[in-house]
Amino acid sequence: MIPGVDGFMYPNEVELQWSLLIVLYPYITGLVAGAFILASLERVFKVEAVRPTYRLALLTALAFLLVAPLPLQLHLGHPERSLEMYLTPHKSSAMAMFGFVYLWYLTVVLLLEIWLEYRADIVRKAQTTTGFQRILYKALTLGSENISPAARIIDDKVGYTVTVIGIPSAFLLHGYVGFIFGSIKANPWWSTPLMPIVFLFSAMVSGIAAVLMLYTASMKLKKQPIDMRCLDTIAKYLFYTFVIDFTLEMLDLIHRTYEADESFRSLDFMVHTRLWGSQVILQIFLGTLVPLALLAANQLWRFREGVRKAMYVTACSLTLIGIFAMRWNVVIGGQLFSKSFLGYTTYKVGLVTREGLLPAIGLMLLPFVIFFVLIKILPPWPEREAT
Amino acid sequence: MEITRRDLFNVGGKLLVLASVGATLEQITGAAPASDAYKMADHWWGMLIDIDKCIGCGNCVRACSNENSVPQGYFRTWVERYQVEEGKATPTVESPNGAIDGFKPQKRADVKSFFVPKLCNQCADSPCVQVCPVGATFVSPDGVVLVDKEYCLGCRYCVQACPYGCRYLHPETDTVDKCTLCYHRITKGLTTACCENCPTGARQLVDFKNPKDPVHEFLRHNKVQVLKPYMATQAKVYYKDLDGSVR
Amino acid sequence: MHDAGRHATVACEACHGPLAKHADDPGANVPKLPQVGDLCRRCHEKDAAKPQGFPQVVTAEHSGGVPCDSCHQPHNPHL
Repeated sequence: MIPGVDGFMYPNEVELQWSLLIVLYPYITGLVAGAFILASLERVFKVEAVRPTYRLALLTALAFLLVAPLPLQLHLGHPERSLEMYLTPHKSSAMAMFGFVYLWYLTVVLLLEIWLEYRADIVRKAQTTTGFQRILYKALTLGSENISPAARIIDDKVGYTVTVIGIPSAFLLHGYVGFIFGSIKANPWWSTPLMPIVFLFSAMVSGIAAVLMLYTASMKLKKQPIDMRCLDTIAKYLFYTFVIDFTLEMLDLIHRTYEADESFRSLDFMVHTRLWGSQVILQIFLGTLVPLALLAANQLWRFREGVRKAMYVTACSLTLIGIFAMRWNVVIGGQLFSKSFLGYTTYKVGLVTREGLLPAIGLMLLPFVIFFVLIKILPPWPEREAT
Repeated sequence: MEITRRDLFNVGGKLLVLASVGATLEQITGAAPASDAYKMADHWWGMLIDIDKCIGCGNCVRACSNENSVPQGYFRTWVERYQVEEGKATPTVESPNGAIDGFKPQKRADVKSFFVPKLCNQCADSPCVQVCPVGATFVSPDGVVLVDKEYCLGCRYCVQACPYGCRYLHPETDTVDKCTLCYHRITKGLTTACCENCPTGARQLVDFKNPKDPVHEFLRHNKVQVLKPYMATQAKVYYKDLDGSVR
Repeated sequence: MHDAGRHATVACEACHGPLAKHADDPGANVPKLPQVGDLCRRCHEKDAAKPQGFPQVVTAEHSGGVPCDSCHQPHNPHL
């Protein structure tokens, strides 16, 4: 009898291969894609109400995108060889091709868009600061100090184009992660054409929720009033996106239950036992149904400002936990059952190991550190005139 | 005495020519004869397993483990024992430590029971090869799925993609490991360690490109199956008398 | 070692373990004699999953604790 194993598993299946860090990775890239889509709402779809969060959303996306490769590097048996994915990629591998999608998105979309948006501020700062700050801002100008109205119009036009390209790029960024799982025919929990779409919409949900939380927290810390029109609009888009996400996940569930193919009994048993807490309680009930109810209520009735804020913050907090649970259920869930459909194993998270809880917590805190540094260098808020 | 540039070029040039001639001579005289060399293009390897001959002794698992220094707790090959009971939706299957020490005898004569040896199916259209981000795992021209452990990143995507559970991460090299069909043996005219040590001949190495291999006759007269045929991996391990309950 | 007999097709290493060193220098590396009881039982202990025609016995009843090689010569075991 092998500890932690019920029934029969192929001998090499007992130990899980993809750990908590691989749960973290789609969660982080999801936040990136979602935050960017929210930013593009203003830029491309002219939803002017969310303008106060535009820069914030871009910086959020950057902070998380910079951390995204780190859980992967910690997971690899040989991280020192990981550059080979760029130098000698195997073209049939979704994982290899994703490396290029990541690089494209980081450079051509995100960094370029941030630079174009902040260019005028950077140039002004380069001209007014001294010492180390001056050197930094001079470097960030990339040699261009022209901020005449004509140049600003060009910035705007190019920025618009970058955002337009950026939207499908963001879709690709996180859809691809879904495809990495969805294309594995050996694993029936993962293998479905719906996977990239489910991942994408849940990413958008988590990203929008994250920006709402960061905006609320930032305004509280700076002791500035929250733009309720902005918050209400973000909550509205969160609601719509969540409805689509929930529909997609229910579609997958209903389809599986109806078709009841060879894998169904085994997967159903797994959900009712090992995944009950994380899937039914955390992901579906607390992470989806409760936030949906809170958000739906705000579409039907008008509450006082204070109550609305509390409902939004509660809904977003639960959403962020729920989407994490979804990633857990996909990645870990996909490895808890045997491909013989005759047994199950258990996953024990290490604490101080390379892929354990402590590194995971560290990796989740790191984007906030980076975010803090970013907002100091590139303040997302209009500078107050000294009075 | 002054050494001029002309002197340097003179001596240097002569030394270079001497060195080149020496190296060429060494290449020509030191080269191994090419006539007996193993030619990959002449072979297309697979395996034949006869379920009705397997006695579950575990010799194959032990031999493989010794031959390939397989780390304890991981398996390049293993044997499963099935018990199929009428009226039950699923069979009862076990593989105690991969059957490296055989099985404890089971006495139930009222159920259908048999042994199933398993290993890498050396798929010609391998899903594990498809997903490797750097091509560290590949199908050799003679049909063996191998892993280059100097190149493998240890990402374990291939482990997830294998429908048969035959791959694992080697705890010492931190790269992925699996059955190599004893490539180091079969390219020297030997058979695999598992086939060599099977006392009943249940496991047989086959070479589909060899016109004299008994596999051709065998496939014409016997009913065979591969594991999980719906995965369409072009598996090259054929099982004779495989029961429908086998996963 | 055994051209005749029922064990003719059983490889030496199946019972004696890996023997590459012995093949390199037969005199210096003499193969160990295996533990007879456990070894024989691995193949020949009666198990319902084993093929019907394969020689197998419930060894406790068959020999009553007497070691297998008291009656059977491992290289030519048929009596």
